Amino acid sequence: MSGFRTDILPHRDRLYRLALAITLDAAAAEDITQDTMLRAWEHRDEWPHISNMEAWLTQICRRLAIDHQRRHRTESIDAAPHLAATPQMQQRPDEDDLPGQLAIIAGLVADLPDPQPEIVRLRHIEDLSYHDIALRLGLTDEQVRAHLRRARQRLREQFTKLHAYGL
Amino acid sequence: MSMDYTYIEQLLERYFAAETTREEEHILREFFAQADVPSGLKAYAPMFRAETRLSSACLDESFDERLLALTGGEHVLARRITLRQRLRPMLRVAAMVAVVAAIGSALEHAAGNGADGKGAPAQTAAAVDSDYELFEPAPLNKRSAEAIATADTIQLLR
Repeated sequence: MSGFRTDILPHRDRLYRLALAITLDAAAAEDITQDTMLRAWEHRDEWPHISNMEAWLTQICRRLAIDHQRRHRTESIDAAPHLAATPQMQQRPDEDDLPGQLAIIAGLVADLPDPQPEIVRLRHIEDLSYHDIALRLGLTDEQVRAHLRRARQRLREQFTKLHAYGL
Repeated sequence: MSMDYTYIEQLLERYFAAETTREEEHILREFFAQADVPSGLKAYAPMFRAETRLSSACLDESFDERLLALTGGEHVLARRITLRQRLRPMLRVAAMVAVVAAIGSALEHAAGNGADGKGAPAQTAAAVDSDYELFEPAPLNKRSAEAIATADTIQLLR
C-alpha cells in the first residue's frame, strides 16, 4: 500500500530546506513544499511506477523553487549582497538576522560555477557524505571533493573580504 | 583555550580543503554557534551559523494537518496487482499437486509394467527397437488425466 502520509509527508523537511536554500524566503519555501506535495498527490496514479520517490519529489520542488526565484529575482538573489567591494557590503546582517545571513550565503553560493552550488547545498544543508553526493550527481568522490574545495575557498575569500571591511 | 583554538584552526584548514568528515564539520558548527568566538575567527561565524540554521530548518505539524486535509486525510492508494500476480499462489499449489500426481501415476504405471515383465528374457537392441515401434500408450488412468488437465490450465493462465 502506498499513501500520502507514509510516502510523501516524510519528505517535507528536506523539501522545505531545499526550497528555502533556493528562495531564501521561509513563507515561500513553505508554499513551494506544499505545492510540491499537492502536485505529487495529483499524480498519485503514477506512484506505483516511480522507483525513487525522493528524487521525483526533489525534481518537482527544485523546479517550483527556481520558477519562484526567477519571478522574484529582484527581491531575493539580486537584492542579496554579492559581497563585491560595493556599498552593499556595509549592510552586514545582525548575527541573529537569519534572513540576512541566508541572503549572504545564498548570494555567494549562487555565484559559484556549476556544479558547485548543488554540491555545497547537498553537503552543507543535506549533510550528505562525499560518496552520496558523487552518486547523486554522477561524479567521482574526488571530483566532489575538488569542487567543494574550490567552492569553500571562494566562500572563504568572500567572507574574509567582508570581515576586512569591518563588517 | 589556545589549544582549542589551534584545533579549530586546523579543522578550518581541513574544512576549506574539503578534507573534513561530517562529524568534524558538526564540531565547527557547534563552535561557531557559541557567543564568544575569538576575533581571528569571527569572519567565518556567519557562514557556519547560516549553515546550522538552514540545515535544521523544518516545518511543524500544522503543515501536515493542512496537507492531510487538502488531500483527503488518510487516503491510501492500493498498488495495482495483475491477474497473474493474484493467481500466482494458487498456480504454485496447483503445479505442485500436478507434479505429485504425475509422479505417482508414473510410479504406478512403472510398477504395473515391472510386474508384467518379471522373469522375461533379456532383449536384444533390435527387439527393443521393435517394441518401441509397436508400443501403444496405455490409456491414462483418472489421476494422470486430471494432472495433465491441471498443467494445461496453468499454461493457459500464464
